[in-house]
Amino acid sequence: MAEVKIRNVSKRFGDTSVLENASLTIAKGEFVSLIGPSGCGKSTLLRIISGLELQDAGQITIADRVVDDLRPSARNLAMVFQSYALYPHLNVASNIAMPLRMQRLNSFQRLPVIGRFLPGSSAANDGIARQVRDAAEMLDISHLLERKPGQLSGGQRQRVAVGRALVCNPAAFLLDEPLSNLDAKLRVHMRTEIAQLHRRLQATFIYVTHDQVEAMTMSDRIAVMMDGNIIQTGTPDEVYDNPTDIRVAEFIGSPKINLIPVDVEPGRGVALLAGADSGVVAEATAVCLGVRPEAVTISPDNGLLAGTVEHAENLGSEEYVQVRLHALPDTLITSRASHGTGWTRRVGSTAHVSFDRDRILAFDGAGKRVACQPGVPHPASGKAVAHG
Amino acid sequence: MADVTLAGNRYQAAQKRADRRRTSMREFRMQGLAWMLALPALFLMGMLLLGPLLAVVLLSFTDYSLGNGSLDWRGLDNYQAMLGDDIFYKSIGNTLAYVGIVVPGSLVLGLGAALLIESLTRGKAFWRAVYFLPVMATLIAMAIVWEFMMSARFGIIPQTLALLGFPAKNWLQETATALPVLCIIGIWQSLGFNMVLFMAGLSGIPRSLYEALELDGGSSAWTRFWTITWPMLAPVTMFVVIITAIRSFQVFDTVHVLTKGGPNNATMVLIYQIYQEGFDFFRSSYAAALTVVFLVFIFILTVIKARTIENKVHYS
Repeated sequence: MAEVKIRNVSKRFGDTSVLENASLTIAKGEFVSLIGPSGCGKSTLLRIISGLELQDAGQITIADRVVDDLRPSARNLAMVFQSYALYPHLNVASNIAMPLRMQRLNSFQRLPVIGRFLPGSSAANDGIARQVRDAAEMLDISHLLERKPGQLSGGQRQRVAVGRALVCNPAAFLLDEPLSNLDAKLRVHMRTEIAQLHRRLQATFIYVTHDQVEAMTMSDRIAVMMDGNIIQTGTPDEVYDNPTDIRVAEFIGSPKINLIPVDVEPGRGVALLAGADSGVVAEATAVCLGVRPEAVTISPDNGLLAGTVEHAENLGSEEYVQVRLHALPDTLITSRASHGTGWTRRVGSTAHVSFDRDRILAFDGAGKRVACQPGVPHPASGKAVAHG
Repeated sequence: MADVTLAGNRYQAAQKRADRRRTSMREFRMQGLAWMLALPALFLMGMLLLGPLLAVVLLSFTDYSLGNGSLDWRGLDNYQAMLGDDIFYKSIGNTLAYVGIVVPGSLVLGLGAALLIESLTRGKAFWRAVYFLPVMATLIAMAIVWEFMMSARFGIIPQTLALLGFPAKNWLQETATALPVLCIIGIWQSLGFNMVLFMAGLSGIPRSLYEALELDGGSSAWTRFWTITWPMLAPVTMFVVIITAIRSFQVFDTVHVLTKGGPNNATMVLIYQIYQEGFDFFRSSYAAALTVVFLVFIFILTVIKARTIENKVHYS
């Protein structure tokens, strides 16, 4: 269990810059996800932490020790690879035992057959076998110890890889998209297991993923990466409710956040959507409003803006309704309507959308978040909203 | 309306009967067609593979010699003669010694060359081509080059060894060294092929395994090789061993060009003895019996290959 500090790390591959001045501190026992689209540098950052890749500039500190000059094996980290990287010629027990054998046995004691009879090796081997059994029990794979990785299912291989990682009691766990090779159902299940494992071990976890659901559901904190930079770090709620950048707002959340072009009335600062008063006051630089689908209300007869229902998806528990606005034909608004509202039968009909004014976000031309708050009478309700 | 239906029913019944007849006819015709299509292949296989094999086996039970108009059945006479033939023992021993030296030699050196070339950052293609050259060159032509190189008076090898204090002689004409020299040429010749096979095997090992081992604490080249490279190459190694063994059993070109089995039968190998018996002494039936022995060896190797490669050394 250790704190991991990343300070101003940069990395280039040839002419392409993969990481630019990335900084992040991961507290002892924290579960932090590095999330971003492919090519954003998240895997490279993880590999730099592990020591498999060397940074061009910057510093990595693990438990207050600078590790830049240490080999991966000396950093006391464990990694779970996307491909699991299990040794295919060794059975599950030997796979899990590998880091312990490397730590505790010298190269003569590791020799096949002869190694067993060398002084000290039988005691060490007994200790290793016990720890392997404990780890296997913890992950519920005791019955698989004699099998080869080729005879295991994807989920079982995943567990063996986790077992190999946790058996050596590392300072931190590095997980590189460990669930991406599993089918959807198993992924949900393993998500829970990894989160539970983290709770039980109280260890530092650094988890790389491109799947925002994984990041949201498991992490204490999320670091969103784009184009080699960490653009926002925060708890899942912070990142979801208060994105500091339009790219974060777009990347996190499914269905995607609605982005609507906006004109800000000079003077009063009222944000106008196609001329209609949105009910919020925004900074003059705002060019775009963002509204999460669940903050969009849709009604057949009254609302802020009128449009046509273009598509509706019934998910059983809720419905996703897409409305093309009459006044802004380039804008498709997605609303998350509750179960049983029956919008799937009303595709093609007219609908009116309105927004929860407390949850409207505004962004400027560069994609940065700008201030925006409810403040003036809502034209649809006619009620005055007092606001400081 | 009813008439139409009745007529329809009757039509359908007739149709069904015709269908059934047609089905059996079709099956028959299909089977006939299948045999017809397979016939050329079967014919060629019989003519070119099984026929000659059978002829050789039958011939080994006769007293036929090349050019004779007739032949007599002699049962196991040829095999009995073989048991009393010193040259036969000599050639079996030499062949096994040759295989026993060339297989491990070209395996270790081929793997070494593959590992060294793979570790290069530049010039991989060049070195690959250099090592592969002997494989592509005709061995007969190369054997002539070796003959020059081994020549006592101006060959580069005896002359170089002479500088180191060894007597300047043609090592191919010495009873004690002729076979080892042939082995060296054999290794030189098959090294490149094995190297290419090993390189293919090496490129199939996922990089992430080495990375996992690096994190697990195995960072020395020695550990990497014995923990990952060697076990992961096991299927390729098995293949290389069998292929090289079969090819070494068939050693002939270099013997024919360089030593003719001499001196004192020191380099007499199975195939060369078959050649001599069949085409120098015209004892075709005895040559056939030797061929049967040779085929038994090849057959054993093939069985081992089929058993182990297909069952034992694959991991998934």
